Amino acid sequence: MIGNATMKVFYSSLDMMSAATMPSRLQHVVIGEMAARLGGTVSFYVAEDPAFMYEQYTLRARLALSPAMDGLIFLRLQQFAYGDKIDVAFMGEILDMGYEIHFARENLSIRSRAELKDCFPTLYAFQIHEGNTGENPLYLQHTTTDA
Amino acid sequence: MHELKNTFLNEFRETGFAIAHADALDKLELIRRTLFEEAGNLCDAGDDAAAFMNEFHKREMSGAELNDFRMAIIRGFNERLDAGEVIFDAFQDSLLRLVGPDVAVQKSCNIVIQQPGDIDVSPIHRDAPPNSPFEVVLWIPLVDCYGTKGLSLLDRKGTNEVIADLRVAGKDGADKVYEKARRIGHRIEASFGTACFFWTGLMHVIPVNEEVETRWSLNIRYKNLFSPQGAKRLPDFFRILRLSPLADLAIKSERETAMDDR
Repeated sequence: MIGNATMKVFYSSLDMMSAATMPSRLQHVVIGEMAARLGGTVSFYVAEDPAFMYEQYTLRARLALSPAMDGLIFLRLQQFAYGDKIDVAFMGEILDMGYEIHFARENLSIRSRAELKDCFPTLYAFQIHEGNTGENPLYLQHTTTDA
Repeated sequence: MHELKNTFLNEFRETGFAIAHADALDKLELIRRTLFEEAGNLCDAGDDAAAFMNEFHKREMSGAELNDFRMAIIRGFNERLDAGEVIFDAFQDSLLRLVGPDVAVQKSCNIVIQQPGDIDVSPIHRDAPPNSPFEVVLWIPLVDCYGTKGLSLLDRKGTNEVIADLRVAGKDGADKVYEKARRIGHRIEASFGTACFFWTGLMHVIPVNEEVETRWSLNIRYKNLFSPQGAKRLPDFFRILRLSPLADLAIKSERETAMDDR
């Protein structure tokens, strides 16, 4: 635990593709509530450039600094599914760095490689149902190009 | 048994609902006993679960007090039992025939306590949309339900009529359509040990309980994991309950690729 003896410290990652229906202020509220349920608080947040939702460059840059925190709370699982496939590899990298991963909308927590493995059928089912939806910027790019 | 199952499936296909007897009654008894024991932690519940539930209104609990009581037993119940799993076990054969071997279940099981004269009932509605039309609702009475103690379902034809009427009713005419829905609904009279399976697209009406006993019932939704989703999705509203050997194999193979863990 990075915070004091009773309080965990999290970074949050907002979903800018949800901003039209769920403004940042509300995303902070929902993620903050998840942090409280996990016995912690949010100390810092990131928000990706909508052009690079799949790559999550902003978050990767922050993680490269090895910040002192216990884990990340994302608004929703979709943030790992803006490409053709859900980015399980990046989840694994985050876990390997010693950080927990939590999703507020789904009330889902992944704290280790073993939990990621156990959770894979759920992630895969999510990918089948949510992949290439209208919310997916890559999908939108393709349809724009095709048009 | 085979003929009974065919009747169940034909009724469901025709009307959108059908009542099935539990394949494993002991599973339902386990659920009722667990709820009863949780209630017993909060009040003097006696020693007869059915009598306690039927006569619950005599305790004159209402409003916030009733809700706090209900939430407390739900918390205790969920800590002790996986309701989605136990209910699936109770009605496994019927459920597998309806949704197939790859099963998703609603994450939380709803518990309803409907006391005589309580006017706080859900308005006439259907679940799909926003739920997926590929879901089935299991309405499970924990006490014998009859008359207005149960629920009322419109069959597919009745549902279509009411929706068509609502489209042209306007704000002033909706009440008349709802009155018609109450009139043409099928009263579901079901005993403990059974469940009413109904399609999420059916309109249903919860009448004010005018009987002299309290209704305790559960409701929970199941669907095929790979069928289209509604607005209530996996994994926030549904979770995986069963995978067929084929899906299990395929997903393990996908996992090996994605996690490079061959």
